[in-house]
Amino acid sequence: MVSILAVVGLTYLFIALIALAGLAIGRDPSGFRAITGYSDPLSYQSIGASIVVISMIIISSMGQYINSASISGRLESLLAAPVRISTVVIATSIPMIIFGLITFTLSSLPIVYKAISNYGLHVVLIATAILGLGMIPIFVLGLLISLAIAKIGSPIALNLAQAVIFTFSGSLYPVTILPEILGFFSKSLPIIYIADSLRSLLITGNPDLGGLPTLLLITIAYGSIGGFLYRRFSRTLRSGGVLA
Amino acid sequence: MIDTMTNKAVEAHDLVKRYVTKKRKGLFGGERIYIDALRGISFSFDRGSVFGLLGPNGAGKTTTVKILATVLTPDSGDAYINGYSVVKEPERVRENLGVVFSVDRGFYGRLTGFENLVYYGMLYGMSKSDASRRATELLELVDLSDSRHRLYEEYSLGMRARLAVAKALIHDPDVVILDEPTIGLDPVSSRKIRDVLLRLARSGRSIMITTHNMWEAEIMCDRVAIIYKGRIAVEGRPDDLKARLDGRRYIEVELLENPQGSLNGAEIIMSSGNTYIARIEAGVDIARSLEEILKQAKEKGLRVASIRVKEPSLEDVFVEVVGDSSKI
Repeated sequence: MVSILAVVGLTYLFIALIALAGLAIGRDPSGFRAITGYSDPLSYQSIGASIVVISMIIISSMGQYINSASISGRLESLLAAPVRISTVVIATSIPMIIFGLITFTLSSLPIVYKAISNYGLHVVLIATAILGLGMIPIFVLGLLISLAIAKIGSPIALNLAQAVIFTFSGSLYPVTILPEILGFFSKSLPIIYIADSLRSLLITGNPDLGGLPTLLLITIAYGSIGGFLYRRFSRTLRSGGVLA
Repeated sequence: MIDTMTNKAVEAHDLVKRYVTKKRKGLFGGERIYIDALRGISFSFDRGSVFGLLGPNGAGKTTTVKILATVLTPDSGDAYINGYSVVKEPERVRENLGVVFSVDRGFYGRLTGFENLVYYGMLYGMSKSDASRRATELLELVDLSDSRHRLYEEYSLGMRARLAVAKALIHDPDVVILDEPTIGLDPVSSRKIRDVLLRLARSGRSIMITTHNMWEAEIMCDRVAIIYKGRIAVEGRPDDLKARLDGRRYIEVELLENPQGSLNGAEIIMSSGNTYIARIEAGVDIARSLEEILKQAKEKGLRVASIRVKEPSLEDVFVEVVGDSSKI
């Protein structure tokens, strides 16, 4: 409970800072609308900031999973238990996803309240479902980073990954302003689809589900790559690879 | 699967394990270094007995434990836990085996001792209620009932060691392997661990320990094997191994001055303040050897606090097999 409140508090602080930046863009409302398609910069930035914060928390927690399990000696105990590590990882993901949903709701309370008032509860429920779905590829992304850390042997991979994801998430500014190749990179991350869908739902009440098939494809792709790499990693681990 | 009706708790056949590591050369280059941790070791022990795997640092003890626990796969060879192959049937092995890899690792610091045990119980397929019941029993066994609701990070090293033993028993395995279970513990904590292990052995469980502590191996183990540089040097009952030393006996003399080469053939094995314990290999005629030592001490003006005849110990066997301390 303390963790959730702490995260929510920090998220509001972050939103405030990001919203200030949004207001700077929004000094020219027509310019902001032309770039983003939205005329409410505060709501636009708030939703984006909340999603980024939750994503960073999940990526950070999962990114350190293998490293911290190895250092603490828990990884050996897991390997010696008659349970697949993938089962443990998936079981770990469920409370993390629930944590993400609760934190987003609390940190976006004003927007959620406004959306319910204007458009009805169903809009918020659809948004929650999309957010929950979107947490899955973010979770897998965190695990892929944890594999990279295990391979490189340094947690610097996490810092670099977080910096890149934060910058190119598409949550804090529209990716259309980026050069094409960087825009393509942004579109390979799941966060942009979550942000676009939630903004459309919560700000306008219109479900823009055009990005949903892509989000599903990304989820499947990340999951497949993650599963393949994880199996390889598991074999390497047992042949004497990365145990601390 | 070899034979689940076998009376062997553990059998290892020609286990080989080589680690490959990289040595950096310059900025981008690297050189592969091969470390032969195990060079074909074989050993076994019966169900219901206590087995000790002794060896110096880097001999291959921990690698052996990890292979038996299916945490590592051997490059060649196989091992069987209660008849199940670690290579072909790792899942069955994990169900039958409890392991302590390290006495102070493997737990969640922010969970209590009780919660940690319940977590591991559920990992082993127990329901929450069964795991809770079992955790309560085990905390009683290892004398941690009073600390069950304290966070793991608040536990002392001795408490952590006992919790580690409890964790290894959570799923009631037939075979328990402990890698240096008393390392770093004070004498009281070590004794508590030994008492628990001996009680388990008396209840019919098969136990394997790795240890540096020869005295501990001598009092606890029915059979021991000494591993050195990835090979089993000797294996057998402690008494049989000591008999290899051809009835060699030693005389230990406690002196109140440093003998400094004054006593022929003496080796200082311990010193504390102004007290020195020297060890001399006794001749066939013990009485004559004692007389000779006392005579030398008197001639050199050395004061003798005590003198005793010692039978060869497992440590003597260890040193004999492994060589002098510069090899360790």
